[in-house]
This record gives sequence, C-alpha cells and structure tokens, in this order.
Amino acid sequence: MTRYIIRRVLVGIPILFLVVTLVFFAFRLIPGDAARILAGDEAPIERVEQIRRDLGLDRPVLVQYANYLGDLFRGDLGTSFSSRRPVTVEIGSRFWNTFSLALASITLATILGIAMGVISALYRGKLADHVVTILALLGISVPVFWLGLLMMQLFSVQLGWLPAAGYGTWRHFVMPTIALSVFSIAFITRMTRSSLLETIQQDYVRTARAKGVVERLVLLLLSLRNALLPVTIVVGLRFGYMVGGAVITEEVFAWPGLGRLLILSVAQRDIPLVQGLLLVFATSFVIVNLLVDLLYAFLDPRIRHR
Amino acid sequence: MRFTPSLVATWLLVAGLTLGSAQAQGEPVYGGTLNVAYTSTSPHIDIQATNQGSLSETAHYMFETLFDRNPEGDIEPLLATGFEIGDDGLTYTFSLRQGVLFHDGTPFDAAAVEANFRRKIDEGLPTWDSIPWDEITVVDDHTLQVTLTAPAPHIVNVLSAKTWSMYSPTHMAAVGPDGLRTQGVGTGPFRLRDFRPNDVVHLERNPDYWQDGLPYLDEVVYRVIPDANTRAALLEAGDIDMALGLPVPTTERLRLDPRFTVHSAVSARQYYIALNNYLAPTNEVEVRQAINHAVDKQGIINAVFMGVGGDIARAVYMTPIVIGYHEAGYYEYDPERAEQLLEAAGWTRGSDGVRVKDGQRLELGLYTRRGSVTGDFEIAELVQGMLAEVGVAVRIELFESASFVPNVTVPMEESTYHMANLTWGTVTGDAEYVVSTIYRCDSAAPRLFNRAYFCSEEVDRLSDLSRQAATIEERNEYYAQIVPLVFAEAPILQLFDSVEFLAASSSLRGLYFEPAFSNWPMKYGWKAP
Repeated sequence: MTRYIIRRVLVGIPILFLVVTLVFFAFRLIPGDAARILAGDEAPIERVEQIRRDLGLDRPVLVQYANYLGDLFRGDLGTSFSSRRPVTVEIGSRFWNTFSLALASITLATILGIAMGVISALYRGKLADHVVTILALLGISVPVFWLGLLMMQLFSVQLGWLPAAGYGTWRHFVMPTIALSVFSIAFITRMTRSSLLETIQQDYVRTARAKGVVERLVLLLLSLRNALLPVTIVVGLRFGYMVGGAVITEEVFAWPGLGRLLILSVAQRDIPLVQGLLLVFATSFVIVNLLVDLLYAFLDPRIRHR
Repeated sequence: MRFTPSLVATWLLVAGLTLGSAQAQGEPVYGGTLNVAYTSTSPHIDIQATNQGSLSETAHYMFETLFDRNPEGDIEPLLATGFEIGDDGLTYTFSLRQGVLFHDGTPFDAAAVEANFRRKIDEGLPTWDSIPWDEITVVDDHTLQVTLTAPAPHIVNVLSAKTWSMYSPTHMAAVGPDGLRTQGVGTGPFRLRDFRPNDVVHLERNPDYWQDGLPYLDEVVYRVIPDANTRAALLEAGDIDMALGLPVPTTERLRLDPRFTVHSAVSARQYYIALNNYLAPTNEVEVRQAINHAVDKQGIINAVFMGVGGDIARAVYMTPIVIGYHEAGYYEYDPERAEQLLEAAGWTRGSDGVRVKDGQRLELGLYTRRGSVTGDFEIAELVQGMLAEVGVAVRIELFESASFVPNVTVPMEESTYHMANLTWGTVTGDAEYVVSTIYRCDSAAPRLFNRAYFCSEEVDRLSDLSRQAATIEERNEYYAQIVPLVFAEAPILQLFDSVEFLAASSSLRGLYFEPAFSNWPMKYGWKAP
C-alpha cells in the first residue's frame, strides 16, 4: 500500500511538470503584454519598457523558463507581477476561502445527492422518482449566475435573510454553497440512482431476495456500498473542479477565492500567478484522484493496490 | 496667487449644488461606516505609479496632493497654501501647509515634497513628463522652490492629480517601491487599516487629521464586487451605501426608489474611435469627415446609455471640465452630407452598395474590445450599421482586452487598423496633457497616445509657442487656435463625453465627484440618521 502511494505521487510529478511547461509556453504564444497592461493604457513607451525590464520579460524565453524551473525546485513560485507579493502569499491568502466553500458544497452535494438518488431508486417509476428526476434535470441545466442572482433577489433584497455577497460568517456561505453544489447534487443523484438500479440486478442481490430478505433492506444494505463505487469517483472529480473551477460562483458572490484570482491574473497576464494557480489546481486534482483510489480499495475489498 | 483656506466649506456647498441633491445637507453627524462596492480591479494601492481611476477611488481617503480639484474642475489648495511664479516664469515657489502630520507621525514639510517629486521623476512615474523639471530646492521647512527649463503654468493642475499624492518619506524609505504597493501612509483624513488586493480596502478615521473636526465617518470599506447585478443587489439589500459602475438601466430603475439617489456628472473621459490618418483610405480628410457626419452620436447615447450616459463631444479628446478646454463643435449627423463628401472625393457606390475608388473598396477594419468600458462593443456595432448606410463597409475585429492594446499601440508603419474603438481620459484635468500627448506629431503611438497618427505642422508650431506661455490664460489662447485646427482635420470619430453615475443611499451627505479620474470619494461626507 505504501509503495503504491509513493508510486502514485512519483507519477504525479511529471504530470505537474508538464502542466507547468505547457502553461509557461502557452502564455508566450497568446497575444497580450504584461508590461503594457501593468503600465496602463495611457502609459508612455519608456515606462512600459522599464516595467518589462523590471519583470525580466526582456530576457530570452528559454532563460526565463530555466530561471522559473530553478526557482520552482527551490519551492519559490515567484512574485506576482501586479501586486509584487510572493505568489505563495497571494494563493495562500485565498486558498482557504475556496477550499472551505468547496468542502461545504461537496458535503451538501454528497448528502443530498445520495439521499435523492436512493429515494429515486427506491420508488422507481413512481411519483417521487419523477420529481427527483425533474429536479436533477433542472439542477444540471440551470446556469449558476442566474440561480445566484435569483437567490440574491429573494433571500437578500426581498426577505433580507442573507447577505447578498461577500464572506465572513456562516450566513455568507449559504447561497454560494447552494449555487456551487446544485450541478453536483443533480449529477450525484443521477449517478446514485442508475448505479443502484444496476447493482440490484446482480446475482448476489437476487440470491438475497430469493432468500426472503426484505426488499428495502436489500437495496440499502447490500447494494448501496457497491453502488457507491462509481459515485465516489464523481464526488472526487467534482471536488477537484470546485477547487479549481468555482469561477462563476466566486464572481457572482464576490467570493475572494482562487477562481476569481485566476480570472484577474489571466486578464492582467500575471504569468507567475497564473502558473502558480494552475499548479495548485493540478496538484489538488492529483491528490483528489489518489484519495479516490484509496477510498475505492476501502469500499471494495476486491480491489488491492500494489 | 493665494487661495482662501476655507476649502472644505466651499466644497460641500459646491458638491451640494453640482450633484443637485434637493434635500438640505443638514447638520453633519459623526460616526458610522461607509460601505462601498466598486467594480474595478485593485491589484495595489500605489497611486503614484498609475493613471488608473480605480486605484485613485480609495487613494482620495488616504493621500493628499498639494492642490486639489473641486467638482467643476477648478484648482484649490490642499497641502500647499499657495504659490508664486518668478518673473521669468520658470521658478515656482510653493508655500506648504504647516502642522500637518503623516499617519506615521512624520511631519509634512518641504523635504517630504521633494522626496515625493524625486521618486516620481527618478522612477519615471505617470505624468512626470508633463513638467519640464530642472531643479527642486528646499528653501525652508515649509517652502519649496521648483525651477523649470520652460514655463509650465499648468504645473498646479498637474500636481492636483491623484498620481501626485504625497507619501510619508519615512515610510517610502522603509518599505521601498514594492512595499508601497500594499502599504500606504499619507496625510489624508483616513488611514489604511487593511488592504487585500482585488478584494478589500479598509480605511479608518485619522484622529490627528489637520482639518479640525474632520472627517465625520469612522470607517470606510471599499469592496471589489465584480458583477454589476450583485452590486445592485447589495445596495438594494441595504448591505452597502454606495455602488459604483452600475449599468444605466439599473441606475434608471434605482432612481425610482426613494431610498436611493442616483448622482451623475460629466467626467474627463471621452469615447472616441481613432481614425488611422496614416493608412489609406482613412488618410483622406474627406473620408474622416464623412465618417463623422455619418454617425448619429445622440442615437448611440440613446441606444447604449438610455439617453443619459453621455454628452455629444464638442472638442477632440477634451471634455468641458478640462482646464484649457475650447469648444470646437461637432460634425452634425447628416448622412447626405457624408455621401456628398465621399462622392466629391471620388468614392462612388459599387454594385453591392459599398463605395469604390480606383478599384479600391471603401472597407475599414474597426478594432474593438467587448466590455472593457461600458458599451464599447455595442458602439462598434452601431457605427458599423450607420457607416453601411453611406456606403462604407466596416469589418469589426474583436480583441480580448489584453491583446487589444498591443495591437493598437504600434508604429504607424506597422498599424493595421483603420478605426480603433477607445476612450481617452485627461487624467491631469489640464489641456496640456491632451496637446502634448495626443495632438502632436511626436506623440504618435507607441511612444505616446496619438493612435490616430494625426500630424499637423501648424498644430505643432502653435503647441511649441504655447509651451513658452507664462500664464494659463496666455497658453489657453494658443489652445483656442489649436483645437479648431485639429477638429477641422477630423483625426478621430468624435463621439461623446462620458457621464458617470453613482447610485447611493439617500442618507448620504457631502458627496463629491472628482472629474479628472471620475471618482466619488466621500472623504468629508457623513450619513444622515
């Protein structure tokens, strides 16, 4: 097991290296000039050139790349072009905001998703199943920014129950968590339902039923654990997306997380910051995948990692 | 030249009148927190290093300049108490206010001003080049003498721009240029409590402020709220007191709600489309004039800004709040006149309706962004439609913001656009900035901002003469000759002067609009109960 984990971590390193390299060169290919943006539209050329020198952007690309890799191996992600603060500080100051929101959302999505999926499977073809199916369909289709604004109008402007945006207290969490988790709730619901229905048709379940075990008990106790295997993967992947991709939710609710930072840094061509952020996102995906795999083994003893 | 010191009273009065608030201002009330949502990115707070209006929004609270600008664009003293010009017009002696302390306790004196000027000049920070510096001399603690290589009566106007804010010299030496991006120490009525880039600027009352009894508010919090609908929702939910950068339909809706007051004011920003004076066919003056006649400016204001977001521009790049402004007029919307001009210049309609001359189609590339400033892309589309009416085909090329600027900031020989959709802000609030950095031949991009590549020997000659003028009045006489000359050449498609909006709680008093940077700082305001 330990060897497996070490191997997986080692495999992650070339992936991260690839991400870093791709991002580095992609940013040199796309149009846009960090020095010009930093100087502002109305800046004389001398100022732009000076900023370019200050940032080291006048040096050959390969030299910049070598310097960047060198710094990276020493654990130095560089300095943000726009704030001139270390990238680690920029990301660190916002990481918890994003992570806590993602954690709240994935928890809500997992609980609600599995519950609704089980209900849907239990009452297959009945009214409850149809209601859940329609809700799930809505959840998958609804645009996040629209849902966010709608909730804001209702809960903040009309009822005055919740703050419209910002962060700080648990009340600030409510709407962004719902907005961020709606798609995942729907997705997990659908996944749980189909996986459960599939598992029920397997031999060991049929045997249990033939022995006269109560139907609902069959479903819940015997099938759920196996049915949850594919759901685990979905939960893991959705969590990975939430850490890296809560862009719209963060934008609508002015949540100072990594997604908003990514948008800003791309617009400002703040290359070190973009690279740092994508490195964090890639790393979290690698970690989440590893955790999912380990969880898999725990849930299904037939799987053994060597 | 001396000013009366009672500037605050004047300000509040002027603010009340200009902003047209019908309610009486009432007795000032102490205390409370002002919560503001604004749109802009605020990666740092070093206002000396940038022209960006978003950064100066909060700089008004923390930092002060030697001179300040009232809502009409007139200059009043702030940290200076006055100045005298030597007989040669090259020596400026500034008297500085006494008894002023920076937030860190450092006294504000002539040496402090010198340190700030030196930083601006040494680091080449924005608009230092508007002044022909020679020497800076500390005469005594509260007298500073500046010697110039040429007369520059506009120096006072330039020094009133927020980019000329005074920082504590102790602080500057302690933290260095990079530290100034996140830590600010000025003389303003509020001190910086907390700054989180692109998120929050949190300010608290400066109890040692040099103007007794001011400020009224205890705290001021500016939050970056990127989505306009969210800013409106925050205001309507009562979470904030002011929302900046709301779209016109939203401000017009809020106007109907008595809980809110919508303030508006003309700024120093002008919407325009640069016409490439170098590249054919926009190098023909008839084509440029025809384009100006073919576009219905009021129609654009009506369609994009509900008729209230702009005033038709009456001078090239300049808006009426700019010192040295001269009204030149505008090209009336007259498609027939446009067609006549084009016909006379030899451009005749082809079979598909697009005009042709010598086998060359009258087809223009219009470079634009979308959403970089309100309505930019919509304006491009409307212009395209209006020009099609007179037989000019426009090909819109949409750029992402970061790639747009490099594409329209190139030497003229490398330029590929006929039209570039832009805005111009006269950030010093003084016409010298326009004349020197966008009217002259040597101001052509990429060195400076003349992206139309407009070049006229006569304008340059008059501009050279204006630089010898010892007084603003004398200088402005040259500008009164220059502006009509530029206008006649139609170097740009002159659109409209931007009207800025602020939606605020009706309980706010003492609002103030700073027109050069389009800011609404409420540093001397209060919240009525």
